[in-house]
Amino acid sequence: MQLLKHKSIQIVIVATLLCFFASCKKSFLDTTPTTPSDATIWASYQNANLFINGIYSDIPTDFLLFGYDPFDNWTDNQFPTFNWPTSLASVAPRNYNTTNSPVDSWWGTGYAEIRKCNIVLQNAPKIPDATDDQKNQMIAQAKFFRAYWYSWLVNFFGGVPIIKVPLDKSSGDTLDYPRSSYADCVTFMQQDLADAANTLPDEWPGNDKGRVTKGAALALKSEIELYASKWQDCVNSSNAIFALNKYSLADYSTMFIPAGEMNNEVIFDVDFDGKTKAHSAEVFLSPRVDPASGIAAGWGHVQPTQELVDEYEFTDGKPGNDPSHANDPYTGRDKRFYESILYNGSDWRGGKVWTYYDPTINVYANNFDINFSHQGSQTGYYFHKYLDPTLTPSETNYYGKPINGTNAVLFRLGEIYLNFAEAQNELSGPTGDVYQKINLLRERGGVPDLLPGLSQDEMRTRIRNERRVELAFEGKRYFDIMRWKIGPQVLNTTLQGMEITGTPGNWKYQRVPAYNGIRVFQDPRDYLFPIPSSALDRNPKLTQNPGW
Amino acid sequence: MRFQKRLLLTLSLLFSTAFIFAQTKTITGKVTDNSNSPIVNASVTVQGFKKGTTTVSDGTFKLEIPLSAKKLIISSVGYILQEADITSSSEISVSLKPQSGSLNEVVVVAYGTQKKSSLTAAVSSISGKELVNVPVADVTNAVAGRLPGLLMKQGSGEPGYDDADIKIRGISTIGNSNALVIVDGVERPLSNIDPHDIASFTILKDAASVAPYGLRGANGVILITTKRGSDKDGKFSLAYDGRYSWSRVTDQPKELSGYDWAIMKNAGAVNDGVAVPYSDDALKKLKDGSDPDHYSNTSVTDQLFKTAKLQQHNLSVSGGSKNINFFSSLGYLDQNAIWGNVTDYKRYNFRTNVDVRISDYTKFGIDVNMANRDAQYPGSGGAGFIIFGFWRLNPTNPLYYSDGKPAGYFERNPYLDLRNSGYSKENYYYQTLTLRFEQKIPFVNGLAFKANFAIDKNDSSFKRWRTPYTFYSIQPDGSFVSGKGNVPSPILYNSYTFYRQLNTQLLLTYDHSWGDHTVSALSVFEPRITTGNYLSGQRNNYALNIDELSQGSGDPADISNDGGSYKATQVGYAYRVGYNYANKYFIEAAGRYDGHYYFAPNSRYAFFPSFSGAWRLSQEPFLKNSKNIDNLKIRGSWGKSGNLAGGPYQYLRQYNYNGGASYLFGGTAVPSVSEAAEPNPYITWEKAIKSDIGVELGMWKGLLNIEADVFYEKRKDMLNVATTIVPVEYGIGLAQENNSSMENRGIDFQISSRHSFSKDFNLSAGFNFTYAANKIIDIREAQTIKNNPNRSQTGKEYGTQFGYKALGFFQSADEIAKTPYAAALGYVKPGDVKYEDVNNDGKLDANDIVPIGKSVYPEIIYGLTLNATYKKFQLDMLWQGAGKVNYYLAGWASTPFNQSNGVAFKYQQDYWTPQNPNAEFPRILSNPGGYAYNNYTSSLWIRDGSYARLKTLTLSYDFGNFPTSIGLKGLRIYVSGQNLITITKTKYIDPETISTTDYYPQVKTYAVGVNLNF
Repeated sequence: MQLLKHKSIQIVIVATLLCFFASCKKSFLDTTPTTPSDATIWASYQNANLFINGIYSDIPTDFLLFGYDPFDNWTDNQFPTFNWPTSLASVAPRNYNTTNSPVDSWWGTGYAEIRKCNIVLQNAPKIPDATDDQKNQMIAQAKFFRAYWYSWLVNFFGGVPIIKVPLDKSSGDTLDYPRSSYADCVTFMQQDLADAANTLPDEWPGNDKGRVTKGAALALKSEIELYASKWQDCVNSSNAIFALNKYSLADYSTMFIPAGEMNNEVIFDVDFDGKTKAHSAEVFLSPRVDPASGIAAGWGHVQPTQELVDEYEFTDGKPGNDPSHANDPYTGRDKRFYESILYNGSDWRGGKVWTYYDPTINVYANNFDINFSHQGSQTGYYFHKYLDPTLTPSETNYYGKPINGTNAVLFRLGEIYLNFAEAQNELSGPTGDVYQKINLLRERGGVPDLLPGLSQDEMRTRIRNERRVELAFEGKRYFDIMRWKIGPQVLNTTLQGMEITGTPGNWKYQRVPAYNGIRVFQDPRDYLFPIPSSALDRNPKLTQNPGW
Repeated sequence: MRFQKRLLLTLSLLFSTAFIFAQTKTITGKVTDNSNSPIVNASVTVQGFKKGTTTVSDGTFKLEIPLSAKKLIISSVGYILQEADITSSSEISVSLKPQSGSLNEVVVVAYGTQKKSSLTAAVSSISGKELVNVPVADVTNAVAGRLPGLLMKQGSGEPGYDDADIKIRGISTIGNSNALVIVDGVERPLSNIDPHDIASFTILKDAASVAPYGLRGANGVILITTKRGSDKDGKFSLAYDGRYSWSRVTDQPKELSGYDWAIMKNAGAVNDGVAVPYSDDALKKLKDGSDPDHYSNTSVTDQLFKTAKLQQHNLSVSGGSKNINFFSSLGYLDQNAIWGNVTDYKRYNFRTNVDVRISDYTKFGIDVNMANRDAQYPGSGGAGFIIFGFWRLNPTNPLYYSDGKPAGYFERNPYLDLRNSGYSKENYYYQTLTLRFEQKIPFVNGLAFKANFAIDKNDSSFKRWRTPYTFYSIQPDGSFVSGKGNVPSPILYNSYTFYRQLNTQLLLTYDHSWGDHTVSALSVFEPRITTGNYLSGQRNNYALNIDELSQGSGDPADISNDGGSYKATQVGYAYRVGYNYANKYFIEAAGRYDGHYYFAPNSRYAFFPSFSGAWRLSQEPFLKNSKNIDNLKIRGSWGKSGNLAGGPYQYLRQYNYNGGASYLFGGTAVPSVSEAAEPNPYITWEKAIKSDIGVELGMWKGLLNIEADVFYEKRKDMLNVATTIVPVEYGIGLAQENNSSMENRGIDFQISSRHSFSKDFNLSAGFNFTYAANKIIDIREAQTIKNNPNRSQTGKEYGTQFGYKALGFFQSADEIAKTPYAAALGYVKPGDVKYEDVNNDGKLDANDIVPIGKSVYPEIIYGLTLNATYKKFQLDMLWQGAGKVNYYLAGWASTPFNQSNGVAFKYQQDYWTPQNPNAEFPRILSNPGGYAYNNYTSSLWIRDGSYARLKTLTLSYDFGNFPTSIGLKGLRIYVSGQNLITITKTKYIDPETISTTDYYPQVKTYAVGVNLNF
């Protein structure tokens, strides 16, 4: 190895080795991640709240109210014009199976949200700089949302596994939970909400306004108890809300527009300001052509049905389909009708909405193009609720950009009156309390008080009618149908519209089938959705719902 | 560090050859080729002594030899070995004759070159010459069908995005299966290369060849070298290549006319049970065209698909002298889309490679490369969006009314989307600078130190300016209402991305022969740092039509921006040690110890070794004098390599931060975070165990050459999200885990032949074939799925398509009533698809899912090249084909009126009616979107994707030497065509179409070109 003694070689070798060593330092492969980690998030109250903010932001307002296929599309209140949205393509014909049900992804979504809540419950007590009150308020909010997401799961699937801790596969604990009974789930949610209601404030201070309150926890509790037919519990929870003395009925006409939001009737809503946080109701719901400017306004995509319109009474007390009003059906209706629905001849944004039908060209009015790519309303109706009359449809706001600032109201006093009335009527028949609550709502609508002396059954019918009218388009109808077990009556039928022909002042009205899809309801299978097979595949302890 | 020990071992191996110093004499000489040009780096060894040298740049050498030495052996790659007697003279002159045939080719391998004849690994290559005359923009589309083992599939034909996806020997992993691309020794993108600059295109296929690339080698490696100047003294040349080409869509299905469309729509409405939308009067108007504003006959294909143009120019200069040589080229490409120049892609390439010989021991090189790519697209969207916009247009809808007003549907006019929607510009500024330094170590024959430093910049800017346009809708009474399309008001988005890659390679190489022994060794140290950052901004609601961020709205609600950065590091130590005896027996060991920042500190390094050997039987006495066999070699390799998949930092729990308006509290927007995924602290790379056995056979002096390989690979520790180990109720996605495995096996071969029938007529032909079939061994399926032989993917090809098995159509209500699941659904009608209730439980659900088709990636790819020259004419032909592949008809291609609107094709008229019971498609519906039943994923929509097509045909005429006063030395002109003939089972759709919806179609191209040499 004489050669190694040569100087130039030694230099090269040493230089090479130096390079090797120099770069071999461990630090060469140490780089810094550019996203936050555990250490950051749970280190302070402020950061931990970012996690809670994420839970709030997952409230499914688009699914419920403002998307192109709002939840009431699953019912007999309304339907979409396009045939591809889930409501029409999947829910109405019930043409799904265990792999592709319309709520397939809800199983995962629900448990993802429940995990978030469980993570808060696990970590909040350990936040170093949080006061006890701050910790308790975090826990209370997490419990509210845990119950909120369980209620979605339970309403869709029946009893589900109750998971109270964030699952950890490295812990060695079991990850496979069997389904709990529906009753146990309800009890669990009641407990979470009772805890939340005991801790949450009646009202949050300025910067925190919009967080869930005691009222919100009681309202969700009241709804869950109503759905579960726990009548006395529901009455108690509703009474607890009344006892807060915080809420009162507001003007129905202003309740669903930005100008009237944050009124005293609202118990919990999701705030939209139309700018930093906005939704697209205007795009999906607004009639096709703006009456004043004549330009394209919205898709007019979701259309109220004649079945819903018929539920709105006349101010003379006659039912909505009473023959005496057949030739002039849109005069003298419940005020809530005008605030919820646009019809042929409605005054709207400085003009009139037209929905009549021209048989010579086979086209409904308020039509924007004639090639069936966007038809005018097939039912003769458009939405009014949620549309902001102060928005001027123009080239800058009709399309492509969410601009709506109407808040998503999840709970309001009107609904609690209905919860109370229904539960109380089931408990004790039509007591004065029941009459009082329903009549408050009717008076607001300008329709006469209920006649005294109704039987429990008659009162039940009136309450159901009142509930449908009062809460139209608010995402409550589907679960009402499920729990009243009226699927075969209302989800098996061809939905109707009003075909209006003739000329202004000389209209002819005829109820016609307006729905060109299939509606099927298999009783009793379809009162619950199938547990997704992907969930069954991965948890052998899960059992399928009957009929699937 | 364990590695230091390994390094010392390697180094001591390098120096272990002993050197003998004895009584000597000096001998000098010069080695030239048959044209008397000096041969550099020719090896000069003394027979019987372990002593030798190589020639320097002028071909000369000087050697101290023992007095007893009698013969010198002079060899150089590509030339026939020669012996020279030195007993009588101390100054000799040797002229080497070039070897013929592929044997003597030098092939590019990892971090160097090797003689093809001494290769122990599976490597295939073609020279750049074969790639330049193909009228395509991206080099990936020029190599299709030319190399055994190479599979490619083009994702889109859109200019700027038309690069094909290249897989070497098929797909061996469910993760990233793309090959590693190395350009001039450094990992670099293929899309920045001008095919004219390519000297060689090589694919490394087996463990032995990819091992030095360690953690990136498992999917195979593409090596590209670019041209360098000739070192023949004083030879300079200038060349110009130019080409124009014109492309049209290949097999675009024929559309229905407005009238036929309306008839079909009416038929669908009858089946839907709704009123027919087109009255007799309307149909009459559609037929006679008397009311084109309401009842049009618009052909999407006519409106959209025109001729796309492509031009390419390349000017290159090269030359050199004794001490310096260079190659310099300038390239330009301009390509527009089949809908014209609103989509336009330009590429400017500049390259200069310079080599300087400072002394006989020291070399220095600088490579400078720049590629600027400027692409422009419509502001509304890319190819998918444009085609979607046209496809959903009814032929009964005019694009323009008769008075010239543009029409609008879905708030858009597809033609204005194309022409008047603003623009989207993508500009890439790519530069690489490579410094090469090579020092031969004096007194140690064959030992050299090399250092390469490469700085790659890849900066890009993206600017999208979206503008509104006005469209009109005609009302039944003939009046118009107007609307604004695309965006409500102008929006500008602008972003910049900066990318830097710093690559250092320190190499020690050693090559030495003595007697029958040849040793070569290589060691490489390669750290790499990549950094990137981006910045973007957007403003909405432009009042002025000036496309600058500074001219946008000042309202905070209209302003947004974003940005980020990253740093990536890796470090590797590669080696290769080879030994051969008498050019007969070869063994080689290669590998790499690699580290990467993706993983947790204690999982960052791994070692990937390989071993290979070859036996050249043709060198054995029993074959050496064979008249038939020129070359016969058997080789084999085994080794382990890695595949980097997944993403960085999966070993940490990460959170997603949403700084936008997640929620409003007190009227103020607040940000939020959410957990991204469960971490996996043990995550590391995938490992591939590859074996390969190959044979190379050359017969009858070039008349027949065969090279064939059989390969098997097992991929272990494949990254897979182990969802099935936790229930859905777990509530969070998991990080990837190294838990899956797959195998891939197959053969690839090429057969080539050439023959001169006369001085004027030469013919050569080549056929290459690749068959690669993979099989999933374990991908952690849920137990219930794994236990179901129908649904389980285990044991099946990756990408196998699953669905219901279609048994045809229900022909009668009676048949439906007898089929329990259909009867239960209640709405199934004759003409609907009849699916097989596999488990006979009266239900149609997940348990009835079965495999219905093969993967969309072909298992078989083959290519056939034919080249004939007659006098000055030359004809080149490339046929390319694929087999064992299925595609799935979906979207517009499967079901007319898919979204209640849109194009319908002639072939779709073959729908079920009682009179047409054996139709291809189910009963027609006017609104099938509301009727998912017939569109369940099923075998009804699976089609055979096999094809064979004339990929390239070129006819050229070479005027040869041009003794003109302007110095023109050569002139060649040619015409060329691409995708001229296609043989396939499915007539109505191009078989290479990767997806049947919204896809930029395959094109048929005609080109003319010229090559000039000065």
